[in-house]
Amino acid sequence: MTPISSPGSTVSLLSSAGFSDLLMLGIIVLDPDGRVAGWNSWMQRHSGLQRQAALGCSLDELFGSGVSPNLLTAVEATLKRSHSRILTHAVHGQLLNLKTGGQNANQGEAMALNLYLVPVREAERGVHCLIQVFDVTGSARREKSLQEEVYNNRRSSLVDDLTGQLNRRAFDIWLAAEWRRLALVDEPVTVMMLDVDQFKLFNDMLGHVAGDECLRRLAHTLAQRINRPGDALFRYGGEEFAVLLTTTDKRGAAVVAASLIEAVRGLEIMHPATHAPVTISIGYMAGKPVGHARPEDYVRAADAALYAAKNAGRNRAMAHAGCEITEIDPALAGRQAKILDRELMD
Amino acid sequence: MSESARDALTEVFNIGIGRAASALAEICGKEVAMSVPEVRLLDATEIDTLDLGEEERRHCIGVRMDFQGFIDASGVLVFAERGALDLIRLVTKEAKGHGALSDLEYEAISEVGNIMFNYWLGAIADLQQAEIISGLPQVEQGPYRRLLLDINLDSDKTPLLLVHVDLKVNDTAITGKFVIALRSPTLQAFVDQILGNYFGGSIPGDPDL
Repeated sequence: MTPISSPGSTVSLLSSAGFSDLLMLGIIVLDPDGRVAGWNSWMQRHSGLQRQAALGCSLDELFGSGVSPNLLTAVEATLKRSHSRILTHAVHGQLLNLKTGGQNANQGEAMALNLYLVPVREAERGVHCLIQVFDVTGSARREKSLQEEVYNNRRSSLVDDLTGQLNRRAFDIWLAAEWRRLALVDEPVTVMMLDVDQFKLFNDMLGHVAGDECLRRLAHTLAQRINRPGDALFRYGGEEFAVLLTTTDKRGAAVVAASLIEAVRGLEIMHPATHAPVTISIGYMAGKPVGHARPEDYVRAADAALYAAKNAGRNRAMAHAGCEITEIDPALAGRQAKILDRELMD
Repeated sequence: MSESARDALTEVFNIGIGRAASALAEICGKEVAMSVPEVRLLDATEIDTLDLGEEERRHCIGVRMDFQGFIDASGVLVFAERGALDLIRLVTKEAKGHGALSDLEYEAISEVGNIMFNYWLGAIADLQQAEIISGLPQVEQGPYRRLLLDINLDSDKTPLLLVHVDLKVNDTAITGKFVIALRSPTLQAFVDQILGNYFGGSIPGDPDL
């Protein structure tokens, strides 16, 4: 076991400039009343406070709002209860207002610090608090840039470059997570697959630049309609999009599907082959994620409904309920939306 | 240990765990629920044959601290499950699971262990109206068994106290376990004093101790 208590002269030694000025870290010694009894040259350099000015003052008096209340609490625990404490930048953020700048402490950036508080007891003078101050600005900065890089990488791995919407990878992650969550709370989920009608023809006749522009505008419009927290739009691949609606049953899904079809048509992007606005077809599967059902089953079912919608003449939404596929009359869904609105108003 | 002695010890330690939980809650900004601790007191032969089950070889992180006063002891607080590390990331407000732990995270772990140890043992000392001095924490990584049992002591005959606690952070999916191990030549005296105070002087008959 390492001895914790210290020999009699430790406080004087630590407080003496001759010794503490040799150290490449900050040394603060607080007496039993929490007043500065030792303050080395490192502290002078980075706080801008000279030893003579600091001696006899509390950290509160010296730093005002520049000292974290957590540090003051920890000092109290060290002095009154003989606790050793480490206080880290990672947990507390700024602990003490020190600057990285050299001679002039007003220059330089705020220093990230780790502090080590140790009780030092002497028979006659009572328990003192030794604070060792370590500059961790370098590692904090490195950590921050690493974090940002990780964040950006993660973000770009989940976002589709062309449309700025979430991508297929995000869809898989999102669906799996929502599936688990909704199963726990026993709420329904809707998986919706959307496909732009006759998009290959659009691309072939107008070129890829126009095709890309069409997808971008379409995605933007769809995203505006899917704005409930928890719901999300994804570019599934090519001209296919996916929508996840949480806590949404078949009836709610029909309303959303009708609204999406209407919104796309309302864009009036003219199709060169049909001389009519570009339209979309939708297939969806709604239900509670219970029993043996898996997320993939819902995607497959929504896909099947989508192909059925295509075969039935496009520009429509179909629901997959078990094996039966029902067409949704957009006008009916529109009326349902109005009824729903009224119910909510009441 | 007899059942009533174990119950008494559990009750006293639980007060300390409650303090540790509120200290932790304060730094992570969420309520932390901790289970009633499972307490075991082992002598040297029991330590050698201690079965740690599947956890045995798992790679864990521990925070070591020494204490003097009410008890002179070496201790380690081991975060036994991945979930406990998610807690650290919650404390440091960092994104979950971006690979290896950084230096700053290690330091944060030592702080979390430090706080929990101080509050736990501090509360126990308070109840006994005794004083305890704690030393600075040191983080260490390694297999669960080694972290827990390989406490640097003068004698390997030293008894061991194990305190298992489950934790859960409210409003999150974070759950985990941590184990406090304390070794000291005076462990028995420490336990006896706690029990003596608890039972008002006399410790109930304890044939298996």
